[in-house]
Amino acid sequence: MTTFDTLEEFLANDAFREWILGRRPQDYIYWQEWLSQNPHKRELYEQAAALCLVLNGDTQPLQEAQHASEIEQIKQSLHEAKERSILEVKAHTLRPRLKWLAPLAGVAALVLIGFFLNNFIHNDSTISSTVPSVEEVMASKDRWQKVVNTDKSDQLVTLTDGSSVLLAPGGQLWHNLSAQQREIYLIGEGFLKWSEIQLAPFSYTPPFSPPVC
Amino acid sequence: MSMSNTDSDLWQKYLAGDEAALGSIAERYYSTLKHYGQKFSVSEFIVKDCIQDLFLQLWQNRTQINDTASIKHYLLKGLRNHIFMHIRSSKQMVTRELDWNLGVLEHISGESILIEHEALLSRVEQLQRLMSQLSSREREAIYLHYFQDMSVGEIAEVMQVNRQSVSNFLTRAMSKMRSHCQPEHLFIFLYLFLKF
Repeated sequence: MTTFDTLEEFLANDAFREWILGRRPQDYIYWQEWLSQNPHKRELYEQAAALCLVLNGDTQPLQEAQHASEIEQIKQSLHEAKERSILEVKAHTLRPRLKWLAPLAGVAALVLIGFFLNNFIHNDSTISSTVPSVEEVMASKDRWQKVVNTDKSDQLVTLTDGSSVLLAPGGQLWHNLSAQQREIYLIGEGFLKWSEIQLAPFSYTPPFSPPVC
Repeated sequence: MSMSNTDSDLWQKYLAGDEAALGSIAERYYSTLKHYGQKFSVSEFIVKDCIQDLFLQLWQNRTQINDTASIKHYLLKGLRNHIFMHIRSSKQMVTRELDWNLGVLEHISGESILIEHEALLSRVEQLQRLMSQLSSREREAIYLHYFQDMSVGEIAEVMQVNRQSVSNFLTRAMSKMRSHCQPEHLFIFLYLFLKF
């Protein structure tokens, strides 16, 4: 039981503070009795009561009703925050799946790129490797063939109609032999011997205008 | 949500993701928080906003929040920080000192607490004058200690100062309150002594 000998003892006592701030009728009787039994402590009692009221400050009677609506606002905003977080959680559960897919997609993309790149390089190399020998060149409707002599000695090239060309080293022979027309372009030196069996006219173009390919 | 839940039950439910439990905590401590918040020199509207922010932040950070020995102290400390942040951001300057607002007393009748009304009014007036002479930290410390039942250690945590400082605030504040009583007694005594 508190003896109420100091200001601090009054202030620290729950029952005293509840009495001063709540001022309930049932407490009134108790404290009236207490004061009549301890008249020498009235001075401290009054000072403690005043201090308690000063510490409490002004409390407006409207506050309780106002508090209820403010508490409701907090509950509402917490509820909304939870709804939002549920949506966020849903979004988060989707994302990991996408995250697992991402490397797979990356690998797939690399494979595809690799495939195309490889194809491209491969095609490129086949073109370059055929350059020294026979190459088919499409020029307009015609079908041109090119023969290059990369050897150090003369080379005899026999064409499909039986004609033959003796091609000097470094020489290029372009020929387009069809039923209607036989055409030849020659770059460099060569001896030409054409077959007379074929009826189609034979044309020879001097060696500075190879066909556009 | 029933009010028979203990603080600790509600806290556990809140930590487990029950927003209604946090709502009940808000309901339980709203008046205390509002009362404390209004001791600082900010408007009631700002205190209300700060309390709402405090609870929203508690909800958002629930995964990083641990169990607490006293929800009340935890909330008071949180509110203090929110109000402090608000003051700092609105004033655009760094101040560790919070103004401590003294309310005015208008609705109290002395007789209702067994004190002669005039006597009470003069005591209240003198105390308010004295309180205004205390530093805001001394005022806050005695409020937390005598009004919110907080220990020196808890006040130190809420006010973010060391325990020795809190002890000093309390001793200094209370000695000023006491020293006020005594000279007046002395005067009355002298007056009575000289009269007879």
